[in-house]
Amino acid sequence: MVTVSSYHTILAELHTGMLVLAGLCVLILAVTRAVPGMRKYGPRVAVMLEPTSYVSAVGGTVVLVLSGIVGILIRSIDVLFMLPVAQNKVMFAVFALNLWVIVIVIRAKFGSSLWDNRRLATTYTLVALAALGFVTLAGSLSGHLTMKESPLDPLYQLLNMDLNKSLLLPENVSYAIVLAMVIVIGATLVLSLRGRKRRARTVQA
Amino acid sequence: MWLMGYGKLAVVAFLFLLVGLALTSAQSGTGVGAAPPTLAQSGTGVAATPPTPDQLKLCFECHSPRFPPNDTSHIHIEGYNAEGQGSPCYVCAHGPPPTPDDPHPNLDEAQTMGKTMVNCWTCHYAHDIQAELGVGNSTASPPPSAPSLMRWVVMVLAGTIVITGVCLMAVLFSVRKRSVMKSGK
Repeated sequence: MVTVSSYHTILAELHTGMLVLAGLCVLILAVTRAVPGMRKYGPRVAVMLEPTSYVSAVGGTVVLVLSGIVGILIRSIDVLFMLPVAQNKVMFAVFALNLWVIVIVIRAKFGSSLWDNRRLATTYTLVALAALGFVTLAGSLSGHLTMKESPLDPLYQLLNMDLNKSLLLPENVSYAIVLAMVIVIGATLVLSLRGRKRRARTVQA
Repeated sequence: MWLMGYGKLAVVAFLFLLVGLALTSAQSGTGVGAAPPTLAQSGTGVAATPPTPDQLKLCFECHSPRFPPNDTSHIHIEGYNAEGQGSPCYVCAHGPPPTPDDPHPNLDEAQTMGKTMVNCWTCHYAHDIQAELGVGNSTASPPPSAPSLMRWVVMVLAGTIVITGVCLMAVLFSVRKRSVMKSGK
């Protein structure tokens, strides 16, 4: 009899492969546009990698959702969340899913012309790389759950990270971070709106 | 979303952040949903709640379900059975598996090793063998325990909302710069 965990393994490998492909495609596209010596390869590379990154990001995100659903089916939530390392893994997977959805939304809205805007292309690349990073971390913690180790262990030791403990920030620290971000972004919004009004007045005058 | 102007998009991003702030503040002890941690969750005491049969189903090796406890169809159990070793225990990595009705012999070994607080390989709960078997002195510190599910959900939701808000703002400003550049101003 085939167990549900076998499907979870297949889905995990599928989404990891597709999302790594998407992330690498975005990274190569960014390099061919940013590095002067590589720009001559840009158009040829873009023809192949730009659609590939989009399709693989969509496919990987869909399979990531399926993988999560199957993962919950094989391990009930109360059992799964008894382990801090499992909590950390699911947290990273949720953040990865969130960022990949944003990558897909950006690409769907702006199309391949997003690469014509350097700032937007930079934002897109950074979001995709962050998403890839979270996928990597989630996969690494899966290794800890199944085999008690991961190739990233030396990095964790270097950073003095203990994955067997919860990585949730203390409540007051996370409160302060969110508050600071709200203030900074709110102030930026206000300044931006003021600048826009000022420009409108200048045009009218 | 596509039909909305970028100003509205900015407001949505800002609202995302405000909701994130509200969710985080709920966990600061001043809002809703913040249940106090139990002794086991706070990491300061013994896991007071004994595991239920539902909780006795994580494989020691891969944490996959192994329920009922005597189910031998699990791949890792088969592997160990094939070697004639039986399921490894949390102390010695070999020997017969403990069951709720059959205290593991290595609980005695743990006592001779000076351990009175041991982490069950099956359910990962900290077991105080002094309390359960009436032996030894409880001196060891309990293993790390996970935060409550509610706190985890709220904090991850807040993190997700913050990530979304920041990304939306970044996209917004990138696009605004492009429109300014295109208009030649």
